[in-house]
Order: sequence, then structure tokens, then C-alpha cells
Amino acid sequence: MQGDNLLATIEAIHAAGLDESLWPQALAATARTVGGNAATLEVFGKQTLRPTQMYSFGVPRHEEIAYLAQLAETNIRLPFVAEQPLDDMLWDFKIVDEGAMRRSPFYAEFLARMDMRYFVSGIVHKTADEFAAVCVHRSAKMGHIERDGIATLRALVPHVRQAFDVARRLKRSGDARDQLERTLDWLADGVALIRADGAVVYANDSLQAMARRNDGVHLRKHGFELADPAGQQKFAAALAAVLRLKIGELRHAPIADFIAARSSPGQPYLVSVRPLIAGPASAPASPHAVAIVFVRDPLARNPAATDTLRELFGLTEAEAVLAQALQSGMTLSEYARRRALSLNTVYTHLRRLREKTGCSRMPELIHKLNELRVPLRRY
Amino acid sequence: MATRDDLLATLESIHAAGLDEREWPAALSAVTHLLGAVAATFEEFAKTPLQHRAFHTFGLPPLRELEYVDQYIACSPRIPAGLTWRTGRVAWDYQILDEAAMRRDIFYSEFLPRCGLRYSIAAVLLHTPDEFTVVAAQRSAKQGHVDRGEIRLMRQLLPHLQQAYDVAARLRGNRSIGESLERTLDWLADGVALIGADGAVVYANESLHEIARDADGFRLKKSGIEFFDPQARQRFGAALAAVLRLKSGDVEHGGADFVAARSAHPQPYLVSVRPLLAARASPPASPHAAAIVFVRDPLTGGTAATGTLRELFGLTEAEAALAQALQSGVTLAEYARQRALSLNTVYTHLRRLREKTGCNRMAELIHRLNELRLPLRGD
Repeated sequence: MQGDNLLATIEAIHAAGLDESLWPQALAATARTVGGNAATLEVFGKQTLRPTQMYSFGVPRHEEIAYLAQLAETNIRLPFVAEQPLDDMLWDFKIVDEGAMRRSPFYAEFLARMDMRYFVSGIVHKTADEFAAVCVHRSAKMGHIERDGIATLRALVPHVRQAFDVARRLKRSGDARDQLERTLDWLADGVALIRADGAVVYANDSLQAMARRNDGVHLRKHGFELADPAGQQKFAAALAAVLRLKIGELRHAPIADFIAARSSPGQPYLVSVRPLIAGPASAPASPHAVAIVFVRDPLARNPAATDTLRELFGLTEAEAVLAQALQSGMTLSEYARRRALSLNTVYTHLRRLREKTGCSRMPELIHKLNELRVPLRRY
Repeated sequence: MATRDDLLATLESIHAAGLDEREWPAALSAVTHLLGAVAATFEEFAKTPLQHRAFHTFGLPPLRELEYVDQYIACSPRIPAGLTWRTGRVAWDYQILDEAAMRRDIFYSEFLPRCGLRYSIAAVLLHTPDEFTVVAAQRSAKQGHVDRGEIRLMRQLLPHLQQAYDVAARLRGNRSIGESLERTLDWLADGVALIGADGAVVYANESLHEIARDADGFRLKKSGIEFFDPQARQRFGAALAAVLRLKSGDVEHGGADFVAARSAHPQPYLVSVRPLLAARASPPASPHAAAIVFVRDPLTGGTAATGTLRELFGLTEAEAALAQALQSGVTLAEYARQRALSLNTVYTHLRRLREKTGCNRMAELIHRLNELRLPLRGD
């Protein structure tokens, strides 16, 4: 039944808006419903009249590549499609007659070898920079498009438009999210977004790496977990406090900073929990994150880069290396031993280091060096 | 009798509501007319506890809406029945109760007549352990119970209602995570900006806005970050150019750290540039960031929270305060003067501080304290 086909086609078109790999199927349904042997959805640059994106059904892959690479240039329909109003349909006899088709290499060679000749198209998207059109193709044998086919495509175009819009918006919001995720991936500290039920909505690269080291911080299916029982208890309490917050109380949010022992000996993690109340949707089943967890691993921190130190204070390589060692808590004699330097040499480097940084006292020097630590992963 | 055009127009308005929830009343109006009803509702419930997460209506007076929400869940026999229906089910009154039972039921005999309603037909868009989302058309006593044709129409609408709901959920999911990630960046003490290929600032977190407010060393403009220090400006330009030359495989290799002098204070900013390559190609229209810039202002670095220090090492308030002062570079004599303490008292605090932290040397102590500094804003 024609009506059911049309509805199924509309459904297929909207499905493609949610998943672009379904465009060929949607275009196949479109070609069938309108009456054609192929269908395409193409996006063009307005100035260049070149396709920038293309989905198709019934176009062999190598022909599509040839078209995208150069043959689009020979497409004599394009200038007309570019001028086609949003609510208008376009077909061959509006722009060319049979004689012109025979003379055009696009019709006589390119389309002919795919057993295509006639078309009907509708405009899907139109801005100052680009436009997109959906097009159903027919073979020479099928003949020129008839009134019914035009009417059917006209009924489908608004849905292609909506699906195209959905795809663009999903992509844009997905891209914005990707950018922020990749920004957090650069941080040296671990970051996780936590849902009301404790599940982890997002964990940055540093936190995932921390969890892989299996040293007291775990990312489990049901949530973020600390091996240290005291730490875990503090975390649970902090999350519970965040959940008790009501909208508008963010300013009075409890700020929870605590330490959590690692499984191996060594300095503990520093854990911070901060509220993240996203509007009115704080119901327990809400998919939104309600809290952020930051985890600092003191053992995984970078000292100030020697480049930065050399550049800023005009240090020599030897002086910069000493600065890094001091920063990581090494004593001078340890440093001399490891580097196989005399203590005298080390004292000389230290004196110059103090002079150049303008720090006469050691604590001041360490403080200054610490300020120059990049809080990011190395590149 | 509904025509094919009515059905197509209804589908279009349903998909429009998927892209913009403000369009739900218009879509529900189309559904109402298509199904020969007086009103239609879209309801999204969280299941435990059972409560509305979203509620859109057409044809119900606004005042009644509130009453509906209050009374509906409590006494409607449709709800317990609905909670047994699976995703994709289309259901109507006679499946739940007959006319005699309706006459005995408070909801049907008292509440619904006051709204001019009696019969309904519902479509379950989604039913999971967490949520239940349903669209229903409400008919008056005069319009009568739905017939076979209307049931068929509702079945035809269902996949489209589901697609529209899916679109809305995905867009909301991306937006919600995106907002959470932005708020995560707002907690950082360091300034963070996303920079487009043309140098424009696509996004800047709160700390960067705050640091820029002093116009000391750099200015934050829409067109880009402008460093006053010519050397920093040059380094920044070179770093951005290098990042732009990168190809997708090179992400790990690009980036730069440098300092930018300020006029009001000798301690410069520490600036880091990192690449932010798109995981996938983007349409030209999307506002795309190419690089991330981190700006650390050593003056707003902050110190370890006294709470954390006290808890971690069992420090007294006085000892924790001394630890903070040492960390920010204050000498013991200065500290004694500021606090109006005798140097002897300060020495005693320092001795205990050293004992409790297990750090004999001052440099080690400062280092230890620095590790406990939060990378977060001290709100």
C-alpha cells in the first residue's frame, strides 16, 4: 500500500538523522517510494558549487568517488539547484530538454553509464555558505518524473530536512562535548563526573590511567571507589551531602577535600568533591552528573619543565636539572651521589640557582619552582 | 476522517517537537485532531519514586493541569496498568476497565468529567526500570471510546513519537554532559580557554575571566588572547601556528609551555598551549576549537586547605596556619610579627609541624605542603 510505504520511508529518513550510516537505507526507501533507481543527499559549498558531503543509494562507490573528485564540475544541474527555492521542486524539463541532455557529458556519459538519466530534487538546507539537496534518479527506461513522483518527494522533503537538522545538531552538541572532554584529558589530575546513584558519567584520561595502576583508586561499573575505607567513607559522605543540596544552594555547598591512602606505601591521594547541580533534574534516576571528583596523585606530578626554568631565569642545563631535583624533595648529597658530582660542584650550581632566581632561602626557592609546574600531562 | 496530509503534517510536528520541546503543545494539538480527541498529553515519569520529569499538554486548561498532576498519579487506575505495559505498546480504556467499572471509579466518574474527559488511547514511547514515557490522546464522553481506525493511527504515530523522543534525549544528554564539563572547568584555579583556528576564543572558564579582569599581562578578547609581553605574544602565536599544522595522528606531540610577564607583579603567568584535534571531520559551520590554552596565575595559586592539613597530620589550628604561611613564602620572623606571636612560640609550632609531618628539612616540608595544594578555586 502506497500510504504504508510512505510512512515507512519517513521513518527510515528520521532514523538516518539519528545514525548517518542509515542514509543509504533511507535513500533506498525514498527512491522506491518516489519511483527511481537511485537517490542521493548532497551538501554543496555555495560559492564553489562543489559537493562537501554525500550519501547515496544506487550509485556505485567508484562512481561516487569520481563524482566527488571532479565530475561534479560537469553537473549542469547544479547552478539551478543552487538557485532552487526551499519549497520548490526541480526536475529535468524545467532546466534542459532532450537535445541538451544528449550534448551534456554529464547526462550522456556519467549518468548513462550508471543507467540514470532523469531526476527530481528538493532543497533540504540552505544558508549563505552551503546548501543541501535530496535527489531521486530515474533510468532512461523509467522516463521523466511524473506528477505523482514529484508530489511524493515533495511530501518527503520536510522530513529529510528535519532529519538533516537533527544530524547537524547532534553533531554540533557532540563536538562541543568532545572538545571539553579533550580539554579535561590534558589535566594531570584525575577528574570524574558522578551521577546521583554514584555511577561515573565521565572520567578523564588521567583518572583512567590512575585506575589502571590499581593503586587505591578504582573505576567500577557502579561507580568511583577508593580502596582506603576512611577515604571511601568520606567520599560517600561528600556525595550524600551534595545530593541533599537543593537548587539555589550551590553557594553553600559543602566543599569536601580529603586524603585517601593508596594501596602501596607512598604519599596519599588528595581527593576533592564538588557539587554540580544541573537544574531541576536531580531525581535519583536522572542521567545528569551531580558531582565532580578531582583526584591528585602527588607521585604522578610533573616538576617544572627545564625549558621553562632555563628560559625564565637563564639557567644552564645543570642548574635547571638541580632545580628539578630539589623540587622533587631530593637532598643535595643524594643528588651529588646520583649524578656523580662533587658536593662542591653541586653547591656552586645551587649558589647560581639562588642568584638567578633571586631566592636566597631554600623554602622560597622551592616555592618559586613549584609555581612553575604545569598542571597538565606532558606533551 | 483523517486524511493522509493530516497524518503527514502530524508526523512533521512530532519531529519538530523532538528538536525543540516547546513544540510539544503544537504536536499534541495535531495528535488530538488526528485522533478525534479533545486533549493530548506527553508525560515522562521517573519511576522511583513515581513523579513527573516532563509534562506537556494540549487541550487541558492550565489550572486543571496542576490538579491533574496532583490527583492523576494518586488515583488514576491507568497508572498501575500503564506500569505493566512495555515499550511500544498502544493501549486503551477497555483493556483496563469496562463502562461499569468506570462508573464506580473515582478518577473516571469524578475527576475526568470535571475536565470534560473520559476515554483515552496511550502509546508507550519508552519503559525502562528507571522511566516511563507515554503519549495519550484524551477523548470526551461524547467522542466515545476509540475505534479500530484510531488505534491504527496511534500505532502509525508511535515510531515517530519514539524517534522524536530519542532525538530530544540525545540532544539533552550531550548538552547536559557539556554543561557539566564546563562547570568542571569552572572549578579549576587555572584559567582555561578553547581557541579556534583563527585565534578566536571559543570558550573561557571563570578563572580565566577573573584573571583577565585585572588586564595585567594579557587581555581576553573575542578575537583572541592578547599578551602585552612581546616575547609571550610571539611564543603564543608560534605555539598556535604549530598546533594548527598538526595532523590528527600527531596530537601527543604538539604543545608549548612558556611564561608571560605582567606589569604589576614580578611573578609571571605560566602559559600552556595544547592541541585539540577533532576526533572526526566537522562541517564548516561548527564553531571549532583547535587549541587549549591554560593560564596559571601564581598569585591565585592558593595554599593547602587548613582542614586538609589538620586532618592529614593531626595539626592544631595554629600549626596549620603556620604551614599555610610558610607555603606562601612568609618568613618565620614576618609570621611572628603579623600574628603578634613571640618567635619562641612560632619555633615551637614549627617543631611540632616538622614532627607531625615527618619532614626535618624546611625544603622537604614546603614540598610536602605544596603537594597538598588544591588545583581548584577556593570558593
